[in-house]
Amino acid sequence: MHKILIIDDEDDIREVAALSLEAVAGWTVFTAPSGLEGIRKAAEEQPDAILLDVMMPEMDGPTTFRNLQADERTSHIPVLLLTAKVQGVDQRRFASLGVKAVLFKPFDPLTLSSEMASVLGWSE
Amino acid sequence: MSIPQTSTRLKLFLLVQILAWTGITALFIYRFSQGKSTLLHTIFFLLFAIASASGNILVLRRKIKYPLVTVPPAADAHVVPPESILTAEAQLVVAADLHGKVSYLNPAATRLLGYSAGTELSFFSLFQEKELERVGRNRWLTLGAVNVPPGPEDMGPLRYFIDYAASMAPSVSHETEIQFRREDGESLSALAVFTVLRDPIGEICGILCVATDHAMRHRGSNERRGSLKRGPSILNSIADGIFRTDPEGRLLLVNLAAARMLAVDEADFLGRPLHEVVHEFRQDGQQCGDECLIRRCVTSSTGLSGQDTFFRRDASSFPVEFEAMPLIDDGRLTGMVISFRDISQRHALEHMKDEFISTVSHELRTPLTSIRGALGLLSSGILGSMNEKASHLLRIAVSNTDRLVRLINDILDLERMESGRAPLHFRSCNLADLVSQAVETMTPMADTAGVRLESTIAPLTLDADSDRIQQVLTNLLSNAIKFSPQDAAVHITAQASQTTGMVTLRVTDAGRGIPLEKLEAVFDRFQQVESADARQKGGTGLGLAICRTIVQQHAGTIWAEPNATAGVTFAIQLPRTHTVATNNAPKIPIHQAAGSATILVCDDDPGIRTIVAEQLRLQGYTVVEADRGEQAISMAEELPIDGILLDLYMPGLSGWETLNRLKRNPLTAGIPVVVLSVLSPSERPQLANDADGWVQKPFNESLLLSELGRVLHGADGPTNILLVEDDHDLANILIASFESAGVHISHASTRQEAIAICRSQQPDLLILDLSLPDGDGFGIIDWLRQHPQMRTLPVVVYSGHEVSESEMSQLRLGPTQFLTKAKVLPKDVEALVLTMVRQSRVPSSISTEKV
Repeated sequence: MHKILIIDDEDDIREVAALSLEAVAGWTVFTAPSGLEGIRKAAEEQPDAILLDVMMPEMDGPTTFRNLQADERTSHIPVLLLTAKVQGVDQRRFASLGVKAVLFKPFDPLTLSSEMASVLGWSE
Repeated sequence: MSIPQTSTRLKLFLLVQILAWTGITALFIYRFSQGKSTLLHTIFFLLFAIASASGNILVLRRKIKYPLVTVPPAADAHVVPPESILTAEAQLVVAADLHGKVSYLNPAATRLLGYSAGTELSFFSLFQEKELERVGRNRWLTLGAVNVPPGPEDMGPLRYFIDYAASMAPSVSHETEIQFRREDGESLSALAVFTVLRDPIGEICGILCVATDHAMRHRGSNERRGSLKRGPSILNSIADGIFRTDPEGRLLLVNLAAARMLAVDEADFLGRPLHEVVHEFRQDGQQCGDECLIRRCVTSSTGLSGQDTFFRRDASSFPVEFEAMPLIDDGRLTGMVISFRDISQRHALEHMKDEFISTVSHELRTPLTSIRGALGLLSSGILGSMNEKASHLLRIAVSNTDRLVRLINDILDLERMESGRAPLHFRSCNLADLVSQAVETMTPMADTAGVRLESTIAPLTLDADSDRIQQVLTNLLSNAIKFSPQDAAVHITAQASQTTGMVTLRVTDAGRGIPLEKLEAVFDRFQQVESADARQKGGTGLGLAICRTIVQQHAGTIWAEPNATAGVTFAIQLPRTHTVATNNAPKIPIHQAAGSATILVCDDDPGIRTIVAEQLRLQGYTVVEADRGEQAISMAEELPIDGILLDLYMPGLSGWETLNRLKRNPLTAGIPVVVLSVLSPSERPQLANDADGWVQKPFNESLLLSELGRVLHGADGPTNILLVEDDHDLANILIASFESAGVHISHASTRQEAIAICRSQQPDLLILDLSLPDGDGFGIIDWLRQHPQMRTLPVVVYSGHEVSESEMSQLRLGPTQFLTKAKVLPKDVEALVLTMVRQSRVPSSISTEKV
């Protein structure tokens, strides 16, 4: 059973995404409403993967990702960006960050977990 | 005796004399009106022609072949634009006939000397008597001081005066300090030049004095500044920056706006190279190479437009949009006029719009994410079962949320593409891979619908943005699947033409098909065949509009054609090789390009090759390039070339040797060759016989294109164009603009006339004004539609107002273009029409081979 950390400032999205991963795939999900909180939880809980929102107040997704990478306690955890920005230029910028994958909002709650699993190479 | 009303003739005559005197080559401007050309004298038109290069005025450049008074030009006389002299603020122009009677005073002279119209004046009475005595060491002035107007029989003092002026040796400075006598008796000191006026056969017929008011002259900080101040105030009141250079690219004229934008005193610029002035202070570490457009302005001697960045002395910079036009005189380049405007504000706006779209896109998707997620989980039943009615409602909610998401994506996609903010990333792609990926993507959908996807694609590469072409293919496949009956097949095929270098992909379904009148309209936004389709089939109504935009960005064409049995075929035609992106998008997109001829451009100068190739490609030609004669010959032997543009002066095998070999080689003898040369054909008669066409360098774009069009289609006879236009002035301008293009144009000003002409001789193309005295353009189109041989006539609708989408679909016959009069200049109409004519003719001679 995989352990996932979702970092997103939107309460509703956190809830829906968490429910989707728990109900569809049966994974354990932690959530954090901000980048700072996310970094703390990631170090604490040691999740198998992090689903990270891009647009967040204070610390945005890319900054959070860099901080996670800079911290030896969290640098090994694969990160997937979840973004509502679909412009080509944004996509290329995100891809160049070094994240595992970029997933797009709105996501299908029934397939979100299988998409993540396939990107992360987890066989179900 | 009174100052006569200055007639146009006299003004012109004076202007010519002044031009001759200053050694300036004149620009003659003709306006075509009522079928006759009328020489226009108006200065405004000259400026207008230079500034806007508008198509309804043709600027013919000729060297003055008028008997000249052999007087050297003043040191920087050429800095003063000729047209400024008669109207200049501080330049007095006075002319008198042989009787000493003043026949012309320019406005400045009238004003500065204080004479009112109607005053009788003798030439000598305009000067202070004692002043004439002071400079009396000159014989003519001494004699001229006799303040008596000579009678008709007595040439008296004027004779000496004229002898003096006529005998002026070219090396002698002829400027004289002189005191004018104002009407109130006061003096006005000026620097004057006297010269004789001659009639067209060279006989002396009068005397001319051009003088510069001292006070005005010294107001400027220096001579050069002064010369600019005397320059046309119109140039200085234009908000666009204007440069005028000599053939070497040195600045001869800088208007105030240009100086202001570059934050430099205009005088500091004069005489300096254009490129240095705008790029010297660039601090971005880049060196300008051959690709520098400003450099090309000077070296290429062709018209050029584009965007660039200009740098100020303090290293600050601003983006500009510029247009450069060569000034050509008797085939000789005399300089360039470059106009430019600061577009930083536009850039800022575009940036804001980008930000806005990005934000909107994000803000709309965020709530949709929660909605879609919640609905998806609920309707899946994963959280507990619910009754059938509730889950049905949830499925409706889910599918409509999906539709909303697709719609947002498509609108943003289309907006980005059409505004040019989503540049394509071209690379060489394997067509079979592209198709099989698209098929793979769509297979789940096809399986669900019980439709088979069958493709037969040979390995073939093409330059394309693979993501975008995939988008087109999946869109077309998705449409085909949606409208196919169960158990039917959707076919994808590809054909490549060796002749045109184009590849054609076809997606064929066996569905319900598309009614003929909607074959075009389906590519418009939100134009579904059935209004219920959006809901039932889940489309956004934007898919085909996106396809069309993508295909057009690849310089390709997309169209729909009905199948013989059932269903419809969507075809896209793409060039296999992508040409270097130009920064000038074609002004008028050509949607219905039916085919394209391949032109070989052979010139050792890469700059010229690039420019020529760019212009040809914009016109829909496929272009291949060679930099040596030998290369051109072997390419012509091996490739399916439809025409060759050949430079005469090349290192190695010269142009004429190349031409000779091409014409003696049975493989290549049939390919028409257009020679590009600084020589005129009459200077090389033997060569001119071998060449099928000749364009003298420096050339202008429309000449080159019309000559090329002529040699490619000469055998087909002249094209017949029917112009339906009730505004006679506009009709004449259009007719005049086609004169050089070798097409036959008939004109109808009413619906009745138009139909009568169509009956007697079927036109090849129709230019149609919509409002006519006896009905409208729609009536003509309806009539044509009833006649099978004219049902596919290419039409250019050139109307006074924007045509709505529904009107557009009513007006379409064959390839149809819509132009709005206020937005499109007649020369653009000409370019478009010639392109359409070419495209309607080329396909018949080109066969496509199945791969």
